This record gives sequence, C-alpha cells and structure tokens, in this order.
Amino acid sequence: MSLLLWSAIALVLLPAYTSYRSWASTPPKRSSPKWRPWFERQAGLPMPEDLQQPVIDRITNHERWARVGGLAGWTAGAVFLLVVGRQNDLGMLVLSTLILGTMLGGVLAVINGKHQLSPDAPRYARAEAVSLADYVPRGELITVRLAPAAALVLAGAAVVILQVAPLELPETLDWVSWMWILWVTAGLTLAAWAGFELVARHVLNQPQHAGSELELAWDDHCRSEAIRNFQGLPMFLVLLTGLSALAAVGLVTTNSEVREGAMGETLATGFTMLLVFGAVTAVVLVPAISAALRKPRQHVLRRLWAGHGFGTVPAQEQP
Amino acid sequence: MILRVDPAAPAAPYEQLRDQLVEQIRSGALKPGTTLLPVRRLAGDLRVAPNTVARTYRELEHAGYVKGQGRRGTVVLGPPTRQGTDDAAELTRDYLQAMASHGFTREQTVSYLKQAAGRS
Repeated sequence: MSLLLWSAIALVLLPAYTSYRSWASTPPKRSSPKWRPWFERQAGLPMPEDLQQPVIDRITNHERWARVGGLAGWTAGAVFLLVVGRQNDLGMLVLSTLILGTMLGGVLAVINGKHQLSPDAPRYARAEAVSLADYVPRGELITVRLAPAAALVLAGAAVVILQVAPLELPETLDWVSWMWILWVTAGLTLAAWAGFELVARHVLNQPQHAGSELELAWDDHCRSEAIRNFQGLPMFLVLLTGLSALAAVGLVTTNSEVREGAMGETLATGFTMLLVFGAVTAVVLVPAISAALRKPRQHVLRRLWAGHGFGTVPAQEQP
Repeated sequence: MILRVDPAAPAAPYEQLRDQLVEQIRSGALKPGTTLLPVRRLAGDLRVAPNTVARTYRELEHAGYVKGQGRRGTVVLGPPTRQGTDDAAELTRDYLQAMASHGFTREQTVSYLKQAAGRS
C-alpha cells in the first residue's frame, strides 16, 4: 500500500498512543475532577497536591518527547522511501519508524529528565540494585525476547514453503514486494529487540531524583511506562513480519495462473503458512497477553513497593 | 528499602547512609545476598559525591555487613556474627563468676552444665 495511506494511519495512531498521558498536558483536562482519580487508579498511586507538579512535569515531558520522536521517525521513514523510490510498495515502513521514534522519544525523556530538588531538602533513593524484571512484567519480557526468533522463523517459513511447494511461482511482482517487506520487518524486529535491551538498561542506569518516597514511586511508574512502551515495537514488528509472510504466500496461492490445475497444492500451501503464522504468533503473544491481564501498569509497584500503602488500596488488591 | 539523606541534618551524609544501611541490614529489611545500588548511581540519586557513597560502602565492608564483589557490585552479607559470639562469651563468663561466688569450683560448674545439657 502507498506511503500516503500508511502515513494517514500512522498519524492517527500517534495521538492515540499518547492518550494515556494526554490528560496531564492539557490544562482543562488536568483540572477536571474525573481525570486525576482515573490516572491515580491506573498507576495505583495517589497524587497529592504537592506532588502534582513534579509528576505532571515528568508525564508532559515524556509525551512531548514521544510526539516529537514519532514525527521525526515518520519523517525519516517517508524521506527514506521517497529517496529509494519504494513509496508505493514499502509504505508501511513509516508506521514502524513512527512507532520507533515515539518509543525512543519517550525513553529520551527519562534519560534527559532534570527534576528540581531544593538543595536543602531531603533526598530519597532506593538501596537495592534494580533489574529490568522490576519494571517490565515477565510475560512482556518473554515476548520481546522471543520476537526476533519468531520473525526469522516466519520469514524463513515463507521462503521454504514457496520453495518446497510444487507450484510455479508467478511472474507478477506484487508477492516479491511482500517478500522484501517480510525481510525488512524481520531485520527491524531483530534491531528493535537489540535496541530494547540496550535502551532499557541505559534507562535503568539513569539517576532518579525524588524528594519523597511517593515521588520515587511515581518516577518508577514513569520509567516502567517508558520501557514497557518500547517493548511494543518488537511485538508490532513480529506481527507485521507474520502478516507480510501471509500476504506473500497468499498472493502466490491465490494467483489464477498458479491455481490452474493445482487447486489442492495451493490450498495446502496457503494453509501451511497460516498454521505457521498462527502457531508462531500464539507462542509470542500469549506471554504478553497473560501479563496484560495482571495490571501491568502496577507491576513496578508490586515488585519494588510491595507493602507500601501510600494511603491507597494496595496495588494487588485493587478491583 | 529506601534511603534518605537530609543535607540539613547534623550528621554527615555518609554517616546518615551508613546508619540507615546498618539498621536495615540488622532488621533484616535488606536480606543477605541483596545487591546494593552501584556507588555512582546511588550518589546520582541522592545528589551526593560518589566518594560519600564509596566511604559508606567501605565502612560497611570493614564492619562485615557487605562485601564488594567487583563487577557484581556490593552484596549484603547480613549482620556480622561477631556480636553474637561476643555476647555468648560474656554470658558464659558471668555464669562462671556467679557459680564461683557460690563456692563451686570450675570442674563442678562444668559438671553441672553437662548434667543440665544432658537433661534438656
């Protein structure tokens, strides 16, 4: 599909991605009586008046960087496609670059975040070293780490299935384009996973500045969100790889010239690819889905703040 | 476990940190095997000089509360057992003195101890 169509989809998705935080960046929403309690429930943390400004500063900073990063990613993707002249068949690349930019932007907000602390005010810090598993649920980590292998399996399966199948490959170029997209997205999945590991560790090494235990807990929440958002990219790319594999094999098996006299073979070939796609995506997505059912936004509270009531219902017991 | 440094407090930051870590290790809040935050990271979080945190860790290591393990970081060892050994030795000395003040010889005291230990 064309660059224009994918750009439209990408630019609609950009504000949707940041909607969780958007209450903080718009003053009318910020003063609305329903938004703050909703946000507090999502995070599992109270936000007293004195802490509202530092927390909102963190959130708006994250949102601003995410949007700027997303737009920069989309621009870079579009320019690249126009330069190489593949805007008609590789248009969906802009969606990947937009998501990549958004997530990198969000992470940069944590890395570059400067928080005001009075020189005479007490400072709070955690004594124990933290790990990635404290900020990202295990299921989501498994999904991210399976993603590159899954993408390579899907790409390899599409190639092997088309080579092994007793079919004469059509001379049309549409399925070849999808094979290109397939390998590009598989490579991007690998890069996204490596990027996730590097960036997440870099975020964990950044200092946390807090003037109270509650502010430290909010900072943990913001970090967790920034890292967890990044893990969506490998997940998205592995799905894109799978869909590209399905499209490439599907275009071959539904080609009228190929199907002529080989109805059974085309059906079996298409069905095999569908089975591989279903099995691989299930293996990759099931851990993330199971994590999503356990209030993943409060994972960091369960790991690092278990037993701290903060004057609210403990995270584990919230409805 | 959370550490708090108050720049306005009379105690130096390294003393504040040391006392809080000792208290958390003694109470079991920081369990043996727990890795402490790296020196630079903790210094960055608390906005103190890295030397302040390094001095705290060094003093805790000398006292036997933690052990620096190179790239693995600084690991909590648990409260030093020396205190317990000292207490036991002191109690035993007190007991021997008390028995002596009642006219029992050292051999008789040990014999009573053996009898009591055999019955329990």
